[in-house]
Amino acid sequence: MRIPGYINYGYRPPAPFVAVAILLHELNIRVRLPLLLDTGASNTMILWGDVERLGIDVSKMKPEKEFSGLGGLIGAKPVASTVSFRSEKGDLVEENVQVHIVTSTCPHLKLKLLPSIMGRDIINKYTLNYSYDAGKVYLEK
Amino acid sequence: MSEDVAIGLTDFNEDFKWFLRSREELLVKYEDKWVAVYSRKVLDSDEDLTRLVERLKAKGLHPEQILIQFLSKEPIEAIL
Repeated sequence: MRIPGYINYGYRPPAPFVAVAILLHELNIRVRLPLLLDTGASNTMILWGDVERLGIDVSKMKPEKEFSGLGGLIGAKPVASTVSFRSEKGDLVEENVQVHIVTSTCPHLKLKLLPSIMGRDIINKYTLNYSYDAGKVYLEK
Repeated sequence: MSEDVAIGLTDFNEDFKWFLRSREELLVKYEDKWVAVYSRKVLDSDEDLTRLVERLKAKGLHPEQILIQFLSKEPIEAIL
């Protein structure tokens, strides 16, 4: 079973993405969004731009985890979620994971442009096939 | 419910593919703006994400179900 991804040329160098639907159970929010396939990230995380788009009031959320990155430490709230993909054949594929929502204040407006990310918590359940030269990206199980 | 999610996701994939394919043409009109894309069309755009989201809501649309992307002429460089 293959889940197609896409190469986004709006990034330098271009970056692999996959389109998903996420149901954030305790927030009762269902969202569709493209996620950057980020093997450098431990967890799947919704970042500032998407937090704003979803209207999530993070001031009312207690950060339960800290993540370190090049920008320093950020707080995040894990939320039980179902992440859904569409396979090449049109089947729905679901993963139940904790999606993390960034709770730290956005330190710079430019960071709102960062995409939300799919981390190794999901990627490791699949074989990630990525050939920039061939213009191909997909997750396979 | 699963069928609704599958149909919605199929449409969303098509919108994302269309956006990626159309990036260069869209840049001419929407450079440095957030654009809301639905059914292979730009529904609305704004330099400010919050303003765009509020306008979509006012039109009775659901921003969380719509592809919203920023169009920057300079590709984004980032290490996450």
